[in-house]
Amino acid sequence: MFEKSLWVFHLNSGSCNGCDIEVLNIFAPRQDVERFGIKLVGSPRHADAIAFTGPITRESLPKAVEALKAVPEPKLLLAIGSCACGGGIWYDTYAVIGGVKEFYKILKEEYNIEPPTTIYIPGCPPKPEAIIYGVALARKAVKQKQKKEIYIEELNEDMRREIAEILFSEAKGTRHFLPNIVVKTKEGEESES
Amino acid sequence: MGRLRLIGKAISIGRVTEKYPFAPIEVPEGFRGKPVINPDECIGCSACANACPPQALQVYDDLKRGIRVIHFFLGRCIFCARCQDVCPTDAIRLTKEFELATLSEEDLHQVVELQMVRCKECGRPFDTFRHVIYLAKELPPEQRTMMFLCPECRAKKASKIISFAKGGGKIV
Ligand code: SF4
Ligand code: SF4
Ligand code: SF4
Repeated sequence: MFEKSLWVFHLNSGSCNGCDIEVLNIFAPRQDVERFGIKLVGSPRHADAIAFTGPITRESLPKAVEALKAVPEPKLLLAIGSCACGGGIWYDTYAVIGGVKEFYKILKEEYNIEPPTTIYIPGCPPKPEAIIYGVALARKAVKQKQKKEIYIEELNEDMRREIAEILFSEAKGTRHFLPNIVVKTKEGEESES
Repeated sequence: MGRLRLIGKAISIGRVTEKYPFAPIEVPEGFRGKPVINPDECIGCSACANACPPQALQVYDDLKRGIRVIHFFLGRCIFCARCQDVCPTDAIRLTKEFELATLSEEDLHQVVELQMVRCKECGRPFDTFRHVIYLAKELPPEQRTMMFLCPECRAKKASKIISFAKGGGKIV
């Protein structure tokens, strides 16, 4: 769907400018994504994708919705930075919505708009190469590396008892453990009380 | 003339554009990439959750199952490395991984579930086994006797012992 030239509209929804600098970086000579046909455009009506940065402040929410509505289908949203992915450091601040997940919830409930295809690019800010990797992922040129990982510790009843025994046997072997107090006398002998 | 000089300069510097994504790139030393919890080392002490500014790391107890959950959400992490600084067992480290883009938000999570010790008196889970063993190594042996009691039961028992001692051996 997005294999050919991707025209990108840069939408800042209240980011700290860190991510915006990185978005501009990828158009500079060192990363130069124009060699892939990616181009910044001035209007969402010309765009295929939105480079979305920031945690969506309350003030910017209606404007973000308007911009998203203006992008023709099929559209792609690049959630750039931790702020856009999950709210980042501002996730529970009173003045922000907190990431695209909450944004999609509002879109669905209040505006009845289906959320577009989204690429999550975490980082604060993400490296310019990380953004290029995200775009390459949208074009299916690279494989996704990041996977959900779940680890569940195995511990059965016998092991629990064993651990308890080890701890208590150590405690019992010392002179502080009541009721077997071992008292050292002057001569160096030991007597139990 | 000026333009000619510019062309000469551009030719002498040569190509600066990186080949990425067709060729891998080197990240500098000390680059702070994706934090990864080593689940074999983690003891569930929740020091990292206390230090994490955006609460990307959260630690909570599932009392019904007797399990402590260490939940890491990469989509909120700001890559500050405070978790790495405070972790007593060096279980959480920042790797050099930066290619973290995903197609779904689900893939940005890491969950570590650790078994918890139940209190000997009231049966409530209160700490992970690994943390208790870690503490036991730090404590002198005579102080380990009340390790398997939850803080409330421990306080009750300690006050009972003190009042027993004050009353000269009789419970007052
Ligand atoms: S992710 Fe970090 S750099 Fe990007 S806008 Fe948010 S705070 Fe700024
Ligand atoms: S690097 Fe910082 S934000 Fe990320 S998990 Fe560690 S403490 Fe939290
Ligand atoms: S600080 Fe280290 S050991 Fe403690 S819960 Fe976090 S990762 Fe695990």
